[in-house]
Amino acid sequence: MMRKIENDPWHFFSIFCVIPIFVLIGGCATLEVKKAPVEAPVEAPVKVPLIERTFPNFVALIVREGDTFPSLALKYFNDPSMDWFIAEYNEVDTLYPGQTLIIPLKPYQKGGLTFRGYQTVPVLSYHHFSLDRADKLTVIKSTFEEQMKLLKDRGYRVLTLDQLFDFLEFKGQIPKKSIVITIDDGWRSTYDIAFPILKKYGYPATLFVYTDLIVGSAKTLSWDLIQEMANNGMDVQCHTKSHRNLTTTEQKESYKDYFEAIEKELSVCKTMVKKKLNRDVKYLAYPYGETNSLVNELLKKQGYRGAFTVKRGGNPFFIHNYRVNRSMIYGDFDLNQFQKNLDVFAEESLK
Amino acid sequence: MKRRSHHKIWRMGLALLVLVALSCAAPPKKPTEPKLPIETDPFSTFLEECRNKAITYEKNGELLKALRSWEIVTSFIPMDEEVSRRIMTLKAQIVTVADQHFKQGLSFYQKNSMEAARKEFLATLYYNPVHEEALNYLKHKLPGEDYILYRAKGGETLKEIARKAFNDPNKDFLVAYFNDLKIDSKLAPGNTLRLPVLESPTAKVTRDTKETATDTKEISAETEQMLSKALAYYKAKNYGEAVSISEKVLEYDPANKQAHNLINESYYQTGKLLIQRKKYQRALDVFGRVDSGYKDIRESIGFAKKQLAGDHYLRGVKYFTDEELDKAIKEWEATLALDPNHPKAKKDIDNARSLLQKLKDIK
Repeated sequence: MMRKIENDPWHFFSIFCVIPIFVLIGGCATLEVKKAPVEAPVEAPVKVPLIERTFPNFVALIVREGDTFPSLALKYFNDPSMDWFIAEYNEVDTLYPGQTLIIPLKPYQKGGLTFRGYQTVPVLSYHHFSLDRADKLTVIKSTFEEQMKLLKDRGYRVLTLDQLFDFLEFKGQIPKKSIVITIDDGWRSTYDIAFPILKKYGYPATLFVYTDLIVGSAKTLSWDLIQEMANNGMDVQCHTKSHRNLTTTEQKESYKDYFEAIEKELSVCKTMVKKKLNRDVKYLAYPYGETNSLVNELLKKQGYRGAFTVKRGGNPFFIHNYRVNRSMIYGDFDLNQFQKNLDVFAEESLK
Repeated sequence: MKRRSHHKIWRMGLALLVLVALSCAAPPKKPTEPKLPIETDPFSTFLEECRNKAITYEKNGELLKALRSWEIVTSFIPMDEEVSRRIMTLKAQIVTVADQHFKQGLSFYQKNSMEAARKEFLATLYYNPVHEEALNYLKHKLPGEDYILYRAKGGETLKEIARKAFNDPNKDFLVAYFNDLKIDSKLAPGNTLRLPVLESPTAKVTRDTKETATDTKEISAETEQMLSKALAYYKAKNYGEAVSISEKVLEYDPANKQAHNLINESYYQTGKLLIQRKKYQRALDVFGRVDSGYKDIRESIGFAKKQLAGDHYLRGVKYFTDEELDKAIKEWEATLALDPNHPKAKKDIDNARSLLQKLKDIK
């Protein structure tokens, strides 16, 4: 009793007419819904497609709305703080949609060497801080705050010592306006006054401690406080055990005793910091800024990567790694005198 | 009959299908994403700019920047033979220039002209950043090594080596320490030992800690000793060291007039030297460290500013002729900042700004 389907005209009608009508209603209606979604009454921003071309040494791209140097640095280097690398290569400080940009994928100016001279990195050296009383080695809180603000306002970037030494060893490239901040000894005022300001600006400063001083008195730091600072971006390195001058002998001290004493000054400090903070020490600030070849060789033997004097001036990449300059920032410096310690380039035609 | 009606339904159906397909395939009224015209390469203008920059850099002798710009162009258009040829020429030129600087550096180094050698090695590295030898000279040989290498003879004891190297057999413990040897080790022939360069440590003159109150006589003796050292450096025209030591004196004795005077005089003389070498910016930086009433420092600063203003002005003129108006304006603004009465800078800035405006209007 069943009708033969292939001979039934209603069968063809249903294939060619009814189904397409349902397709038309269903399919096209769906498209219509996509065009005007009920859930999204406000029109979503138009996402401009990314136009980029990738080559072995660089990426070329057209800047889109919303792109920033940090966002591009995050995308291409996985590190937003590399924003300067893109800005400096392209010699621009702002972005706009439609701008063509090159993202270099390798360092292009190691050592900060240019046609007109070379980069220098100032290393600032502080000791004490006070709320209201300045002297040669004590900087007042408000002055320190002004100095840190000036660094930010003028676009300086604060480096870690590892970044500095990558630059000094001609391995890496750093921002053109780079500086390093160091604090010596281990006075309590470092924690009470300098640390909150450094934290506010996000500056990775380095504290050079001489370990005999770290007793946690009213005036000095304790290991707990140092640990807290270390957990919040403060690098901790050595300033010897007792702050003795490494280049002079004590009265009636034999040469062998002198050698053993200075060997201990370096090794005990290193071991103590490792034990208390579980952090490796790689750098030393010489007490009184003084060193000689024997001390330098001792440092190399003990695995120190570099060390700092207090000779005023910036550091080109070719400075001796164990005689790095530091400029002491005195308590009686005004902002103008402070700025004189921030030279980041030495002009010398290299044509 | 049945067959004919069958065909009619087929035709109707087909027509309806085509209709449905056409209506659904119609393009949406508003595109959701803007599309770039296929025929326009979004980088074409940029590449043209790169070409122009490369040519300008070549003209100015900035070979590395020129090479970088050409390399960008060739990455986009690898078949452009003219660009490939320019790149090859530039690369060869850069290698030659780097080698010339290195040879020159070696020659200065052998003549003990360390400053001149340093400059040549820097130029070598500027042109060829992977020049290991130039880097080695700059980092190690020029500043002087802290160690010597000693080649041991067969059967030599550490005492014998210490006597030869340090003029003191009792310093054998240094030989042992720095070479991980036992004090009674005997060495095989040809063993190379690393030995520190020894300078006699001076007898104690500095205070133990910065906090301890010490005998004033001792401090006074210290400062005297440091001051005479600073003076010796000043006389030898080593102004950097003279300043460094004088500043240490000020740590102990902030009011020490002689130290202040040495610092002022050292910076003053350094600035004068820089003026002679036409390094006006550096001279200004250095003069800025001299006390404002010292000698003729105000006049010296005025002179350096005027000269530097002149340099900026000329650079501005160059940019202007190269049609880089923004950069020209910046240079002339720098001119005015240093020399507000400069006879031409103000007028030239106005001209350049009006030209820029006209160009914008045309666009």
